[in-house]
Amino acid sequence: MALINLHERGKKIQKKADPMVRIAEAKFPSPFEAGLVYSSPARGTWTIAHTSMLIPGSHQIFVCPSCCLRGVVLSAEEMGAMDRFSMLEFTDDHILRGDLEEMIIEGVSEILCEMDVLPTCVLLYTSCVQHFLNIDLHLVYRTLAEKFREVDFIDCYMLPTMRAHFSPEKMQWRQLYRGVDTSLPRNPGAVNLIGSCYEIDPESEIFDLFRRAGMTVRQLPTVGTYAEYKRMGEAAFNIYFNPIVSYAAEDLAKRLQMTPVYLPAVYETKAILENEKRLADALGLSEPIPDHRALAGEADSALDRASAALRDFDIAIDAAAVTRPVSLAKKLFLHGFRIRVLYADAFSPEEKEDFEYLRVRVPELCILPMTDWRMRAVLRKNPAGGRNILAIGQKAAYFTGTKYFVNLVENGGLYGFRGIIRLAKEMTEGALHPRQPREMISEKALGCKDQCARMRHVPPANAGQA
Amino acid sequence: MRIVKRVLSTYSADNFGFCSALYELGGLVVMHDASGCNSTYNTHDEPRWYDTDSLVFISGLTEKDAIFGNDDRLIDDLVKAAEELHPRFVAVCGGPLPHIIGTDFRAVARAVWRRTGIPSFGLQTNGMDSYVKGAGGALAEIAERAEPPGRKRFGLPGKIKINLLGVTPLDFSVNGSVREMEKYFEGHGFCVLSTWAMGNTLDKILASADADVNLVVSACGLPAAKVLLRRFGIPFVVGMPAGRENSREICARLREAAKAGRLQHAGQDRSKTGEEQDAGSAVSRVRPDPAREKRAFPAGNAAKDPELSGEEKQGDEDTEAELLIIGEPVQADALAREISLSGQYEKIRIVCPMAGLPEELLAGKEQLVLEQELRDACACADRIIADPLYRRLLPGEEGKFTALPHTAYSGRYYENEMPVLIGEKLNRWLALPKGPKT
Repeated sequence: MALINLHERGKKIQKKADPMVRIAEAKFPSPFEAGLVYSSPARGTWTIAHTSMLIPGSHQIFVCPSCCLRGVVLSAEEMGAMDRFSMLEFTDDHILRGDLEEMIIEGVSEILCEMDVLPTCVLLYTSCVQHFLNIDLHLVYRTLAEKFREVDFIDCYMLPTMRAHFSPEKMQWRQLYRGVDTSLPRNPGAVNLIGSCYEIDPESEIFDLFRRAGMTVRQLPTVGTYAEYKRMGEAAFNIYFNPIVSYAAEDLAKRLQMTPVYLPAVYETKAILENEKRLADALGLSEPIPDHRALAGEADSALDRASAALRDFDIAIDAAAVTRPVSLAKKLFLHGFRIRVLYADAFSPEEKEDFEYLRVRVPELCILPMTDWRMRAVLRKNPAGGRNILAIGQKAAYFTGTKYFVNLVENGGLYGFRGIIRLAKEMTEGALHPRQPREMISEKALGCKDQCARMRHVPPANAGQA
Repeated sequence: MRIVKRVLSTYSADNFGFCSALYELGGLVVMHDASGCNSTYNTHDEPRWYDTDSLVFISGLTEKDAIFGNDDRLIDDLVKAAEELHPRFVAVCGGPLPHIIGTDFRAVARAVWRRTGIPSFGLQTNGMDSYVKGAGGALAEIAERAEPPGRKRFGLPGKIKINLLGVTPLDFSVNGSVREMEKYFEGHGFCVLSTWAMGNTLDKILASADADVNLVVSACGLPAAKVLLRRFGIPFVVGMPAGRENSREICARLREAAKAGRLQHAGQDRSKTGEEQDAGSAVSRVRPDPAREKRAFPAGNAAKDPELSGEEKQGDEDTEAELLIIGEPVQADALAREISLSGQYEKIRIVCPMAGLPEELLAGKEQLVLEQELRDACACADRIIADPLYRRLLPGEEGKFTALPHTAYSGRYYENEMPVLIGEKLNRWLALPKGPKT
């Protein structure tokens, strides 16, 4: 029952509160001003409590006030991983007494001493309050490391207030690799794919390069054991696809002299081939390197077929689905799709060229934010006015109110030409098979529950030997 | 005291309770904090988020603003949103960091009120107390702004007019319990003027001071009941109409309280600020009459009744119980009373682990917080009625537990398993014998 129907409060208010801008007039890279924040019910993106589960055998301990704990503990419950989760709740009394260090040391000790088997690794999270109070975390970690020598402690942070410099996700990806074995020598035959919640599709053509080089590939979603996670410390290369992972890649380069290779999740043929060339050069592959131009043709054909199948559909893309939404929009536009809406709070500076292209070629393209407060009052329909709309991403599905959508989060492990072929297939299926998005998009961290179940039941896999 | 949660969850926080209580009233409700609190609240604690519009947002506090104590951005953002959305009121509370830096939410609200002319209020939440404090505080603020009785005439002649206070999804879910509760009283000769605050508009709630008696159905409703008692002399009864006999008793107590009538000397206006006068909020403050409050309060409250609380039957040393109930105090009382009357169990122990409960509701109950204390309590009991997450305390003994999901504890996870306990439905749920023990 809608007691206050924001959508029927008069056109005047509706119009005034509408944040939509056309790309022709949109500022780049930040089209919208900061203000109050709305959080849509699309919950598929992974939080720090979810990505932590990717380290096999790890145990998370959060030290926070109750409002911060509640989200993470119930996330753990929902993903069926409460046995890998504990917490220390602090209150005003602890703050006033000024004994937060002691409280953490004793509380963590109590948790670990009560466990039947000590975890291999503890991800110990502190929150904004401890950092504003400037508690002595070095003392905390040093004491715990001395007390539990068989446990690796990784300092982790839930600091959303300090997001201006390091968003929680950016910081999280850096810390997740802090537990790899730092004593191993660099192995030129080992490569890590870092910073993805989802397994990078082993069908992706970059694996052809790894096979060609005879490399061992490791990535968090597929390392089956803690020992295998530790072995990630031997890699000579870290490959990442999302710019927020650059902080982690730089950290590993600085500490362990691993070479970072950034392969942005782009969609243009030329850019993908340039990525491949950069990867081949970094890996030191000698000619001939695998030629994927034919595969590029297959990807284009797949998009053409999907475009024909979706000729009655407008397309909306959100920035939580893919890391390069503008690049994807341009690619789809070039294949005849009716690109009508982009949902993004801001754009990566890397997308400027594609943005300017669309500004000229598709000036009527609607840009809408995802967390701006005005999005609460926006009508759940196609903002471009068309009838059918296919949404790529959960937030786009929610905001457009469509039943036609691709349930995709953070690239979903798709990369390169084979990624495009899979995306084209999923777009066609999304248009052919309407679904009620509510249940699907309300699930937190799309796929995390299955990932946790796999880690619990599947015997340790061999390292992702390509 | 270290609060170590090895296997348990935590209760919903005060800032979430604040938002939950005000959700349907058409106000602009803002938590001042970084972004995480909003998604936690609307994912786990707000089952209305997808379907029912609201104006609940978070401020997106930044490190810079926190360090420099810059409240201007918050005020500017509130004013901007209020001027575009035209909410009925503006309400602001905060999370842990604003608490640490001492943000004055009442002052923020006053600044917003001055600039927009929209009634505004703030509550000093800290993200550390339980939802009871936040929801209770929010409803009390609404009660401070309720219109004096008689301005608008509601209700049916010959029927006792009541308000149901303390109704949020955190305690009552969205499983039909609220409507069932209203139907129950309507079917027993009462007229439900308003339900604070689900399924009613702000206007209906503000005009609810015509009630003969208020019924506090959860701990969240007690502060508002006290305000309405102080301002208008409306007596109140504490109790949740769950269980056949317990509900009948509550009806009897409501009639008795209504018959006794209003506190006569209520209604004297307290000194008001200019802004409050401008907004026409008829705020009155009188000293509560202890005798009247005493008369009004114990009705339906097992805590004050040794027979119900078992105070005579079990001393502090005797912690063994046949039945242990863990949960919200008013609901737990209702269950205990009905089960006690059925004769199914004699020794019933009630544990309320949430922080910030009003003292009056804790008599005869225990407030255990530590996991080991709760584990010990469960181990001593033959049967336990509690949120399913408490089953984790006794691995291998899950059979002792009867799951009673509580949104304020396990969030949305068990929302499809939440039973309706109103009236006889509790008896059916518990499979209790038909007649009371003779």
